[in-house]
Amino acid sequence: MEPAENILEVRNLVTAFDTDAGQVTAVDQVSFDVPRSRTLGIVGESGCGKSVTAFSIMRLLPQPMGKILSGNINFAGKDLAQCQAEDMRKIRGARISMIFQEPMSALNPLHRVGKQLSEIYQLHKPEMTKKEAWDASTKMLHKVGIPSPEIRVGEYPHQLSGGMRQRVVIAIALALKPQLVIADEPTTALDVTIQAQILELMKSLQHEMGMSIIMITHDLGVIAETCDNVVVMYAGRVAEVGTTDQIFYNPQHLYTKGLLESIPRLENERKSKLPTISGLVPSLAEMPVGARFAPRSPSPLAGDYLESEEFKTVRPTLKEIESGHWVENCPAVLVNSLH
Amino acid sequence: MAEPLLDISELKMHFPVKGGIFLTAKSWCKAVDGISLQIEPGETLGLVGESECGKSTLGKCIVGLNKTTSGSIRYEGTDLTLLNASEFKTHRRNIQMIFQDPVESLNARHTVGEILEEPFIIHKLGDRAERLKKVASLLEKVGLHSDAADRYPFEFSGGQRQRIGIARAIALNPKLIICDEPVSALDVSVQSQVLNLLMDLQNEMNLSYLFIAHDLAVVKHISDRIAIMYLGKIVELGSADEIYNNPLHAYTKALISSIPVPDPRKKSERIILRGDVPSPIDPPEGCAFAGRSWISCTEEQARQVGEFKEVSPGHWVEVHPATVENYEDYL
Repeated sequence: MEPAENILEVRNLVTAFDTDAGQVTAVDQVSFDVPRSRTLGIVGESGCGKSVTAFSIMRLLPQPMGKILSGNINFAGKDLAQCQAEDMRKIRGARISMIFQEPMSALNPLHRVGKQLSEIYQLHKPEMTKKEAWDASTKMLHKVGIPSPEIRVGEYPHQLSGGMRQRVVIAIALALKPQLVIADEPTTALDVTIQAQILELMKSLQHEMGMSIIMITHDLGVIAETCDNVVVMYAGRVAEVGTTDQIFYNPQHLYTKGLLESIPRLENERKSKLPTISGLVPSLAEMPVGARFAPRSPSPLAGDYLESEEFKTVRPTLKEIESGHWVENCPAVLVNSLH
Repeated sequence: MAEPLLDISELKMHFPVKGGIFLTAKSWCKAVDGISLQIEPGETLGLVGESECGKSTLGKCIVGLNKTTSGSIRYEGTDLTLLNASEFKTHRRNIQMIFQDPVESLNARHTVGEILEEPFIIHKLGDRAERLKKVASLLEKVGLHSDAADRYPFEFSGGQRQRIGIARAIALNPKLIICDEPVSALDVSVQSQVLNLLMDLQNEMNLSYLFIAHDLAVVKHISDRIAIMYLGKIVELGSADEIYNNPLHAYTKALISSIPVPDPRKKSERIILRGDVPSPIDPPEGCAFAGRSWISCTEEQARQVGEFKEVSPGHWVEVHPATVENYEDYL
């Protein structure tokens, strides 16, 4: 892919936190691309580093514990990892914005919806008057499908339902037509029928405004419906990257395969035993150097690999197995080692 | 048919919404508004609905954590709503509950052993040595190491904590377990482990489950029958396969079509419902779903209440112009 086609390129990102138990690496050499006007999904279980990746891009890591140790985050020709706080403030909210999981905690309960929306205009466009910002806010609420926006704009978050609040959060995120929106579990807190409304809304707004989206979720159903490309993360590292079709129909990493198989599907036979992934995610403080999924891998090669010197010392790289489809280069965690 | 294990009839649970200087009831939140359901021995009844539809309230009514307003809950013939606290205690052994959040539902200051021993102490069963033996066998049953007894809940992962919650629920050999969103806080790979455990225990102990969840795919996998709840009422009830293959209620159809399918090439025709779930405080008059339905009806019709009818053996649905297509066929 031509570099110019990507709005964001993350290369070998390493993010760590200082804890009482010493420095813990939450994101370990993660690389991926976000193509223009496309949606990239990042999927993984809790603690896999998907949210920390998002906060690294936004440079919103908890301070002073969290820091980016190395790697590049190239956004439209700028390395965000090296960006000054001042420059970052101009980018954040205007060119890259974020949609959070819990709309109630993302909104300030003490301010009217209109004020919170106006803030983003006045911060980035000081030439706008209060009145203009308020009108723009009303328009934005209309755009995200809030009924009678001229009334809602003067209300407080508690007066809105959960789905409506998430629409407000989306309105704030899209107010300045950003090139990239990072959505961190945007529908996890919502009911299914409301989730369907919100996903539909995001799709149509993307069609209209052409922004790229990073969709962070643990729900493979949401990934399948909304994403063009997928990054599967496990224990702070990338396990597999590919197009949505490659990941769902030709998974090569045993973790990806295990995840896909363990979801109950409507067409499953009732009360049949669900396939599971045995064992637990290793804790961040005691991560192995080698393939981190190996201790849970059902592969016949896993036993020998765990005993080997390689597991203790060599970090597997990603290898490209077909165009755009990359997977951790370690036979003990690969699907084809099963046969 | 033999007598059901649990027979809920016309159950109502209305919370007062207080206001004014004297904090008198200004209005009523009709969380559960006339529900009738039966659960057979060894059966799993799935209860699906969106947040605030009253599904958790119903579960809490059954275990006696909520006082009901009217109606009856008969457990093996005894109406639980008429019992006082000490009479209820003997039945509580038989009806247990597993909660959604395994972090909040386990006492952080007790070891797992103490948590699991407590039911035996409360019901004065066995001496200390016997109780410890029971705790060890419970841990083994739910797939945890016996040394877990000396550790505290925070030392365990979410899935393991849910296993502890399950061990506590099965400690006294109950017959019915109310599972209130037991897997919705868990990661997918762990979720399937816990679902498998619940199914295994059911086979082994002939347990009945009331499985409350919002995830229809999970419910369909584990349930024999499914009840769909909307705003305090059951709107459709039938065997799990029937609800999935032949849903009749407009809300059930919308729910099924809203589930994101983990299959990128299968783009289902999606029914998007208008607006939000109305509040159970002063719910709309007449048909509660008419305002959101994708099947239109006249205003006159919307003010009328639908009728909950058995349209084929075991398949019940709320028949109303706004809830069922070609509703005349079902009158």
